[in-house]
Amino acid sequence: MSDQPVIRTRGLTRYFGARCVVRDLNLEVPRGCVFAFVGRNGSGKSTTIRMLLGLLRPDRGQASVLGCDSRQLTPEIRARIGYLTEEHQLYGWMTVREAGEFQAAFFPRWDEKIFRGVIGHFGLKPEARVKHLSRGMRAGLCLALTLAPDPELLILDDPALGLDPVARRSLVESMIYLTRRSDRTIFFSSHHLGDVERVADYLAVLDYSVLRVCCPLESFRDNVQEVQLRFAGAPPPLPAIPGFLQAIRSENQLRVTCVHYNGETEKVLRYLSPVSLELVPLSLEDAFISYLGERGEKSFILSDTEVSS
Amino acid sequence: MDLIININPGSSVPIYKQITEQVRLAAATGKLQVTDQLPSVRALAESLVVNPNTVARAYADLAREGLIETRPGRGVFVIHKRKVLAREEGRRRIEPLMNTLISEGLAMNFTPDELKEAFEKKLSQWKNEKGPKQ
Amino acid sequence: MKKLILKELREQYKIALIGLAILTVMLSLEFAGYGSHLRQVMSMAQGPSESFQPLLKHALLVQVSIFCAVFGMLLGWLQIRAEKHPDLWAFLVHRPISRNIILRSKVVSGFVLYAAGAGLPLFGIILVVSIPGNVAAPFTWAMALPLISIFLVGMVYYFAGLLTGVRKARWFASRGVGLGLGVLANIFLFVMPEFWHALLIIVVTGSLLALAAWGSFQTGGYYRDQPIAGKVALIVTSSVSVLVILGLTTTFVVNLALSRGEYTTSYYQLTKEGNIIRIFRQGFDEEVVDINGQTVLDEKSGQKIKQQDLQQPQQLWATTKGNGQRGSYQQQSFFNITRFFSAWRVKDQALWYLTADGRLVAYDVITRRFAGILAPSGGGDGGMANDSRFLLPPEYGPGYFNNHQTRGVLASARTAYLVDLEKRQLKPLFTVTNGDAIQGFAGARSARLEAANGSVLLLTRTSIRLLDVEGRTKLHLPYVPSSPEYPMVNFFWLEPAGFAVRFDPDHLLSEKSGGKLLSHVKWVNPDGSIRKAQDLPKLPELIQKNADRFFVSLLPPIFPLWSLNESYRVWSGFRIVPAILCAGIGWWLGRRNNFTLKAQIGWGVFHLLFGLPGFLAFLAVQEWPPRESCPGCNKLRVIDRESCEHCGANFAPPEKTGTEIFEPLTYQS
Repeated sequence: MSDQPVIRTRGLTRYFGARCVVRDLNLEVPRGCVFAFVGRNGSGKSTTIRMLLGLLRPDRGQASVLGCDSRQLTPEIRARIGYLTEEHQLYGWMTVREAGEFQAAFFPRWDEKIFRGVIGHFGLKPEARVKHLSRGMRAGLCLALTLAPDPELLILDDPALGLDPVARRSLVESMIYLTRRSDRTIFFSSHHLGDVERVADYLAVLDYSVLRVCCPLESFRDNVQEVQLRFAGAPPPLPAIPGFLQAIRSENQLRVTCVHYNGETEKVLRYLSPVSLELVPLSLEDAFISYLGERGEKSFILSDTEVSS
Repeated sequence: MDLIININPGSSVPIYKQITEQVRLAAATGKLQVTDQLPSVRALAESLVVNPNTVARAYADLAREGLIETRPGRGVFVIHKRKVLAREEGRRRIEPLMNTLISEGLAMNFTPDELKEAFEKKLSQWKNEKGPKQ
Repeated sequence: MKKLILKELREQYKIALIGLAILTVMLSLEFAGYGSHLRQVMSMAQGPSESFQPLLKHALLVQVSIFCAVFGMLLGWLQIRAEKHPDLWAFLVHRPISRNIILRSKVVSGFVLYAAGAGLPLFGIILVVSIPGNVAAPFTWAMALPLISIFLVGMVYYFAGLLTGVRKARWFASRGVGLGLGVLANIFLFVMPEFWHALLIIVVTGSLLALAAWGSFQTGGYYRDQPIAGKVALIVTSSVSVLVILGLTTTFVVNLALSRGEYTTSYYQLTKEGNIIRIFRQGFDEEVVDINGQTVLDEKSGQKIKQQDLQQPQQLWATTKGNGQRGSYQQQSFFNITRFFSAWRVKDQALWYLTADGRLVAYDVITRRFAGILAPSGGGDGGMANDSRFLLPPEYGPGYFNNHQTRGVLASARTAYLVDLEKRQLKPLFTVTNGDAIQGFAGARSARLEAANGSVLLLTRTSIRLLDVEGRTKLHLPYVPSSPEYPMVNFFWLEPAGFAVRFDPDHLLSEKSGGKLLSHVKWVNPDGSIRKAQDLPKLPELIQKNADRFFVSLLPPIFPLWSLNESYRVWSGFRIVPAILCAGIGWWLGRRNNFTLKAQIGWGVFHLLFGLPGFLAFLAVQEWPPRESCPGCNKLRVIDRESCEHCGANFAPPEKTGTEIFEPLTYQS
């Protein structure tokens, strides 16, 4: 049973109007891992998560969570899934304590110690009203409400959106806390690559509705390489390179990023007769930016407009 | 044990590598002695706020190098190196460090002799601090 | 579930309180005005019967209706909009209970809030009216039924509000999809004969809307993937709403476009000499002809005579059909005051009402309490007709106290009485013989003609009698042709001498006979002998307005035509044409969007039954799947099926760019 993926999608597809936002998604999330789901804004991450939770129906394909079809999640399965949304929306008129009591009434495995612990960690007063809480404090409350039922699977949709660094750090700590139990899984989407790097085992990248990456985190970084080519004069035009991502041209330098750099690629680049050819290590963020940015030669923003000195 | 590890997620060096490098450095500079105990995987993960699997991978690499050893039920300990790093590997590691030292020193208009002198002074300083163990 | 109910109550209690306040103020104002209204009666400025019984006052019922509609709909809508933000909706819905329980909690709390906001004040006013000394008019618990039914209709609007709030609608207008059904239920309410009819309508429309709301709630507002029951309810609701809107707009537009003067009418009239003329009116045009069709000219001027120039003779009208029901819906409704009583006379600080069961009751204007009763006392016994109740006079209706006549005449089946309100006595004027019974009567109002003053017209089983003010018979005719074919008798004093009696047939029986029952006139000499008798030829039918005809042709074939007038059904056969057209277009749309065969057949039947309104509703609720070109055959295909409907090919996986990074994920322990 523990060999089954906790999340599985097959050909999951969704359109909004005529636009395809998720196209033929095939994903499997193993039990016990921390799975990061990244992509640019509007690439379909939230939509995918909503489909996983049965809040949105796919146009084609299926999704199943904890072995149960997403379209028919039973109450027992829902009790085992924690869901945290990016807006951290709650009923504004409730107090922190009322929110806790409200949720506790529904979940059989509610642990009041966890709830109080997270509340305390974020410095929330029990009688404070939700509408008076800052975004970070609301996030803390939502986190407390999500963690207290001891969920097997935690699904987080961009939970760090708009949070200050302190709140964000608390969020990451909570995710690490959950990994204490090896059968707990976390599936989350984020734009904070620093947090992703800290906490994720696996990475999946949605490139505008299409899944293009699904691998262990370090494999992604290992597979996206930047090569620096130095030339005597102006760098020559770039030929076709397998797995090409981006190139940045400057006075006598060409920096090329590509995927799966190997001997073939090196041979092609050496044909340009550079003075030197060096592999430059990339941070995860840079790797991500060049992977998801526009393909081709890239220049800095507004670099061709004159700045009067 | 006063082992301080700082990791920097934005760097081009993976986190697990940062951990292994810092542990290695600590062992090399004597901050970590043989038979010292390292924090458990979970303890270190929580203190660094990283995924325990990352710490586990770092510890696994260090164990493969022969620097540390996990004793079930007791913890993670620094051990005497069973495997010596190949000379070649060692040279490869020192090369960039030497480049840095020399280039910076020359840039600041130190003479090669001055540099040599400073280097030897530092070496003997360390020898004295560490004692005959090293 | 209890937690959810408490949460709903906590969220919406404010609106319930506001509603409670508004309705209480509305009803209190009504009561505040009641006192001054009573005083007005004493000073001769007065209102119709219903204004004395607030529970049946039409204006109040309409006001409360509007309140309950708005309040109910608002409650339902607000309860759904509380989770307007998709993340808050997710918070509500993603928890370990079924969605049905969540909806049920909302509905239960909605009922409670509605009962508090609308029910409490209504209960209050019913209670106040039921306590003697508050309202100077008869009260029975059945009078509370109109308010109760209005209260219940508010729940229909509640479900309409739920539906409107939850549906994800593309065009703004299609959000109001439930409203039409609510409005229809409301309108019907005012014309239903019995309370249980109204209850049936409320249950049917309420269930339909509840089912539609339930279906949409299951999918969070989307149409596809709803349970089939929800879809059916939604489409029927939408069809009815579209029908209502279509009806209103076509009537409005066509009335604007076509001339107003379409309305045609013609009728007979008697001149004071006893000649029969026919008035023919179309719009503002008028024609006056005699019975042979010749235009009537003024003797002196030679010009065409106008109706207003003709002087009508003094007349008295009586009917054997009880309280003069002419068959209008309003008078038959359980909302109508005449089911209970009618205002009769005002005398000495007492308001006299004639109850529907044939008794005169008095209520004191100052104390507002029951102050007396006048009814014939004798019962019926072997052969003699019943003398315990009055028959209802022709002027019995929702009208005013007739203060101009303090002396009135009322008759039971046996005896005609002169009513003396001052002495509170009944003076018998005439009693029928054994075996006979009074079926109708009328007492003359102050007459232009001295001779007619104080006369009483009696219709018994066998005769027509004219009595004078003392009860002596002045004229006695056999009642031929008689009831039930000819229940209406019109008695005319001709000038200079003589009388005429006109017999009119019963409306329904006349229709059934196919026009064989004609109006009949007898001319009578002063001594009572019959001088002449004549049948009046049948008049041409009323021509219906084009707007109505046009609308009828748009009605769905499923619409029950038997509920419409005979004359409306003229163009009804034409309805099948738009239905077939809609079915055809619907079929084509279905093919284009790859509907399953079952769906196609279902929709086909639906379009044939529901015609144009159904088709428009179909367009409003359907969510069309987008289409993309197929890799196998290059034709456009819908994206929500695995294989292409033209060539059977699957969708191609997304193109690879050469930059994919896929590696197996190991399952860690």
